[in-house]
Parts: sequence; C-alpha cells; structure tokens
Amino acid sequence: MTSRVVLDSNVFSKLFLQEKDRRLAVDLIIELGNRDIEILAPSLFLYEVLSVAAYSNFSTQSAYELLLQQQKVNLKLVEIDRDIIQTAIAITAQGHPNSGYPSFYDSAYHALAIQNECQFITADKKHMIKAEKFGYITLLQDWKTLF
Amino acid sequence: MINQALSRLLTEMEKEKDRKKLFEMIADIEPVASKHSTEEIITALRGHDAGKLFTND
Repeated sequence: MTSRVVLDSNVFSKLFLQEKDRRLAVDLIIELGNRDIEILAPSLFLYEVLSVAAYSNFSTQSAYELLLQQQKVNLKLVEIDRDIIQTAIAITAQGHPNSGYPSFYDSAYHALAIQNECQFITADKKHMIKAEKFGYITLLQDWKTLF
Repeated sequence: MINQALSRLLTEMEKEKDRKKLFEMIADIEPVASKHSTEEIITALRGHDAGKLFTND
C-alpha cells in the first residue's frame, strides 16, 4: 500500500499553468490528499515552484499560499541527508556523453524516493529514460497505476 | 481513553477542514498560459546541460 510519494515540482507547478496534462496533476494531487498519502520533496521544491510561478506571471503569493495549504495537508519538505546525496551521486554517474547525464537536482528527488522506498512522480521523460534502471520512478501520465 | 478518542477525532476534523480548503484553492486557480511547459522551465532552472558542459571541459 502506497503511503508516501516524492513529487517533482514540475508536477505541482502544473496546478497553475495551462498545459494539456494539467488535469492529470490536479487529479493526482487530489487523490493523494483523499488517500492521506504523504508527499515528500526536497526543500528545493519550494524555490522551484515559486520560480515557475514568477516566470509564468502567476501570482507568487498565491503559489506560496497553495504550498502552505498543501503542507498543512500532506506535503513534507525535507533536507537531503548523506545517504540521499550518495544515492543521487550514483544516479548522476549514469548516462551517456551524447544524451547527457541526469542532473543532480533530478537525481536528488529520485534518490529521496529510493531512500524512502516510494515512487518519484515526475513529468520529466528525459530523466525517466536516463535513470529508469534505478526504479522507484513513475511518469505523471502513469500515476493511476500506483493505486 | 475517551480523551484519546476525542483528540483523534478533533485532529481528523481539522485535517478534513484543511483538505477541503486545499481542494477549494485548487478548484479556484485560474491557470495561466506560458510559452514553456513546466518541464522546460524546471529543466532550465536545474541547468541540465551543465553536466555535459563540464564533461567536455
């Protein structure tokens, strides 16, 4: 039974951007709330979500209030520890000189999921391709397979 | 025992209130159009090409 997930900021930010897969993100976040599933994310999540809001001309104040409310319900921002960093380092070493290597940022999210033995839900297909072999990763489009 | 049950009930009621407010906030959002997708913006923020750049140094 899934009790927690790691959520990519690129999924949460879809709440306030007009994108074709926005409905998927809305449905996922509501489902996580209804099922009382904890959402874990590195503290970096906060900066990224607010940066996307600022870039997109969505009110950063509204985005921040949304984050605060999500925290009251089930969002937990965590500092990454030594084990998570070591796992992230291992992930970043994977890749190909031509197609590129996973970024440390993507890998930190992914490592947080691996260390917590839960799924990292992301909309980033490129990271999925580069680091799929580590497991514990689900694309936003496939979130319904988790429950 | 009764106090514990009451405390649990109050916590659950509070949680339900927070959940309801969150869902209302999400429903009230008027999403904005953006030139770039969230993936593209986050990818740019995270400096995806930095790895390649340093590898080629």
